[in-house]
Amino acid sequence: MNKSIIIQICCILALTLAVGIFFNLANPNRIQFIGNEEIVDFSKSDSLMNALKKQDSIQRAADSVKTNSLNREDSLRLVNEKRLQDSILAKNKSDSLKNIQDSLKTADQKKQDSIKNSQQVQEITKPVDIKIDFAKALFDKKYRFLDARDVSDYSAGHIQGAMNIPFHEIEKYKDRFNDLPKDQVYVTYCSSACDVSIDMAYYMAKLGFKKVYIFHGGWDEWKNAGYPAN
Amino acid sequence: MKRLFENKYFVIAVRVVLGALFMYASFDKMANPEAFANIIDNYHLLPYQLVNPLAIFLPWLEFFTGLFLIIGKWVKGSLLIYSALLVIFIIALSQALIRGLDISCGCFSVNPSSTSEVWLRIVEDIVMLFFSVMLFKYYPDTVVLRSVHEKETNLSLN
Repeated sequence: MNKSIIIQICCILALTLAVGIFFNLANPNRIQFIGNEEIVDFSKSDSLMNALKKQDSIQRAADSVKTNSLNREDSLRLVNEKRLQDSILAKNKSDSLKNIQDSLKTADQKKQDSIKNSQQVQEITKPVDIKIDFAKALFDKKYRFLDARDVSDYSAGHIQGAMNIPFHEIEKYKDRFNDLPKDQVYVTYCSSACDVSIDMAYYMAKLGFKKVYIFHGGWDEWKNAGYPAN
Repeated sequence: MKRLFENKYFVIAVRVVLGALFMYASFDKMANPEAFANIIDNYHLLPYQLVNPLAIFLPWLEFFTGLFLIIGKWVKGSLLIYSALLVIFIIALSQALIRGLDISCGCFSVNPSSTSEVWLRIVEDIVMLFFSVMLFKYYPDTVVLRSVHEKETNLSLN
């Protein structure tokens, strides 16, 4: 290689460097010259899993209180009816029913509060990286899974009930987001060696979706775990 | 082949086509450096420290290489950079294809929906690399041109 070619290359590189720096500083869409490292952070996954377990236990307790109250209500009603027929405890009927209704109301209120609290835990603005156990828990709660892979991959196999929004063809499929309520919980996934689920989660966050989770293990991990699939 | 690449009009046509392709490829990346950085990152080839610098400078390198090829200045230097870039692109695309990465190419557009078959892009790059290398091989050096010109001047003076 002769000297003149080396000089030419140096000149082109210097020009590129100068114009690149200047243009990036002037560009409204500029980026940092050195980017930040993107780390998959599963720390929230475990805490959310615990919160979900807690919510489940509170809900179960509330349900059992309600069931007990209903049983009590039924049995007391029968007794009261009998007593009414006998015309002995007619006066006590309204009081006892009122007490039961009050206890029912309290149980309901407790349940609503617990659900509200747990939803506040799940309120997120930035997509959260989650592991398979939390993904399965969300699946059991019938939350919507979004498959970011291409149509052919989705057709070959996907998480049961997942909706396919191929991120590579997002312009074509972005209308599907219009049908999804923005305050619901969504879990995005792709295969395992992919980033489209992450890209789609951040895309959704920009659209205003507040509860988006990224299931990094994706279809491969789900399939290997033997969880429900189509 | 040599005769073909010694044809003045053919050489100009190849230069313009190669240059225009690179210039066209650079515009969208220049305008959306963040999207292009994401695409580079998805290849999982570079440490994160190098992703943004590449997203900033690569489009301009493509632009100037293409520009100099079209205007016919610093052609050999441009062709060398052009060929080196194509080799890098071919390696990046091939490894993505082999590893089964589900990525957007980022070749001509940073739009994730602008995906085409990766193997098709590899073939395109190989064809472009072929023309670039052949042009480099048969394109006369500036020094050679100058010496020929000087020889002709001396002859005419004598």
